[in-house]
Amino acid sequence: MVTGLVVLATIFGVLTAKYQQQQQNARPDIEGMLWPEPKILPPFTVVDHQNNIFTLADLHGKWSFLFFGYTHCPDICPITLAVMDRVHKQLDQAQNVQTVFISVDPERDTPARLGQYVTFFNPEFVGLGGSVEQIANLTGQIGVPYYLNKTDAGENYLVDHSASLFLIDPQGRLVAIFSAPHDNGNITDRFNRIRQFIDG
Amino acid sequence: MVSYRPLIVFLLFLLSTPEGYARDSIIISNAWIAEAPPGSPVSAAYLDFENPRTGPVKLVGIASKAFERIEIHRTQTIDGVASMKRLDTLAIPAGGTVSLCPGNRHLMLFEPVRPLKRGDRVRLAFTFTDGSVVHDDIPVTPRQARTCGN
Repeated sequence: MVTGLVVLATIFGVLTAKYQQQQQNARPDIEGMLWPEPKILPPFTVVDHQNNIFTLADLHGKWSFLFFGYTHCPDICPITLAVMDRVHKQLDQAQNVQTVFISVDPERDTPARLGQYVTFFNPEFVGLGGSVEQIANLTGQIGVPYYLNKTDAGENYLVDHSASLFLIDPQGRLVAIFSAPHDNGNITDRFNRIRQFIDG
Repeated sequence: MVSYRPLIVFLLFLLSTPEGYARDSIIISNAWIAEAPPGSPVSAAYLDFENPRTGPVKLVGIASKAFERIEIHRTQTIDGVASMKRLDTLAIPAGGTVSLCPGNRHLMLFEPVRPLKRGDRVRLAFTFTDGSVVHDDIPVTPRQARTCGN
């Protein structure tokens, strides 16, 4: 009896796995797409690393990879920016693609510090900061989680933050999220397919 | 009557491992410090610890004249949110190797005394639970676009 149940469960498991695999194979070849109707970003205002105002208009006409982090971050943020530098070098048409690093810790991350940080990885990268309220507004619109652990020792507090890359299309629509761990080959491949699909 | 004497002698022999073997040092390899952006107050070091001993050991402290403070940290990503946790110690099992690699466990290097650039070498001192100290001169190298396992 028990053996019979085990056999039945095994068969069920194998069939379920095969069905799921078929479903995955049947999905359109644009893994990473989020919504049939991409989310249109509402207007926002922040400050870039050259102390200029940066708004939604600065995302229009380009593909933008947004990453939310902080410059006191020694591991995941530098890894992601190093990966994005490789992505830029791998892309055939990198001229209308920008990587934007947005600080969720704007009190410590002044424009000058952001500039030193992002351009170290690639001179074309953009760093964004601003007031605490401006960053809270932008992250809230996109749905980016973060938390400043200010109870930690003094100025060296740690920040929990989203590890994902958010892709905005040239119409200013959030079209995809790339989850960590990030791999430049995988991102380049998925991005090319998404761009091809949206550009038609 | 069966004599257990040979067995007892053999067991005593096993217990009396040469002192030199028991004192084998922890072996550090593949160590590198990620070159940090200019003015950065933090950086990270990655390395492997190999424990050739017959008993486990723990890393309990790291010191260097080149940094104000060094801690063991772990990056963990849960539900898409990355956070870092400080670890008080790092256990290295007997005969085992523990890797510190990008995107996971790493040494967090706080406030370099002077700016470091690629090509520099920095001496770190690692203290273990038995009081032994191992030194290693670790090169500063450009960060590679890879994480643990890829």
